[in-house]
Amino acid sequence: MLTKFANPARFEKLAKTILPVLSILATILLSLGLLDALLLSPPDYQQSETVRIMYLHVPSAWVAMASYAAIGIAAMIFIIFKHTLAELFMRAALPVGAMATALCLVTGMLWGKPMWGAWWVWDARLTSVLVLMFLYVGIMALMDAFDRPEQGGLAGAWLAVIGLVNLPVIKYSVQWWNTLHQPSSITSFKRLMNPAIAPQMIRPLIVMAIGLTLYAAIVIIVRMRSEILARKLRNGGIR
Amino acid sequence: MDFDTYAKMGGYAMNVWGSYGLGILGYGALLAHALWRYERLRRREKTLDRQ
Repeated sequence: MLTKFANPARFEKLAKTILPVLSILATILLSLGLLDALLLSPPDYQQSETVRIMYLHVPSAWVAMASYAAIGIAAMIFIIFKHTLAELFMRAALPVGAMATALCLVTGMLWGKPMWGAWWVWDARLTSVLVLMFLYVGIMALMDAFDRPEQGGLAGAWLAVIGLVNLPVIKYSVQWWNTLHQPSSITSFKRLMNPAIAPQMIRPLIVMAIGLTLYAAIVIIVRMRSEILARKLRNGGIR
Repeated sequence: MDFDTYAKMGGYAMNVWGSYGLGILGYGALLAHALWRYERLRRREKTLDRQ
């Protein structure tokens, strides 16, 4: 089954079908999410209007971590089965995850300054997310440091697998250590149904999270199609 | 609420609008680059096909 879906020609056909659907859904969700986040949702009783940063900061963090988890799985598939599509997925998803991580860090700083009185603190959550950023940049640099893309892909895949250890550190950093960063308000699906934050605030958060996830999927698919095309032009066909 | 009060975001305009501005710029640039690269490669493929 894995081989069936790891075929570039089949992927191209599938991408052509799902891209328009994903694009329409992402546009609708992100438009509604932004409207809700910036206009309809109420200010927080303590944090006032700065709480609106959450609707971009938290979904960016989720996309950053989900992208890395997907890259880690693709890296394992590439190491074990040598599927070219897994390597192409890694190359396509790395900049998306890096951008989400960078925006998570920057929006966190813009939120932290008025709330904590500091742009940056070396607490476990912030530091582990910074490590995630370094991992993204490091893997991209390593993959491009080889003349043969397959060699670069393999080296990057090993680093991506090793870096997977950082994901639970990010997730549980607020529980394992005493951090300035607040603990998670949504820790499970059960908690999502009975969240610690107001329903008017959870709504834009979820809509923005789904919208940003779809956006990430679109960019990854477009970038994968580009990679397939680039290799086809370079080698006269994909191996 | 009038527009001026809304735009000031309770005194945190730089933080709130700054975050969303950077978000739209960053995510928008990534999407634009992905689409531009794909179109460029497709044009090159068509040119090579014609040759």
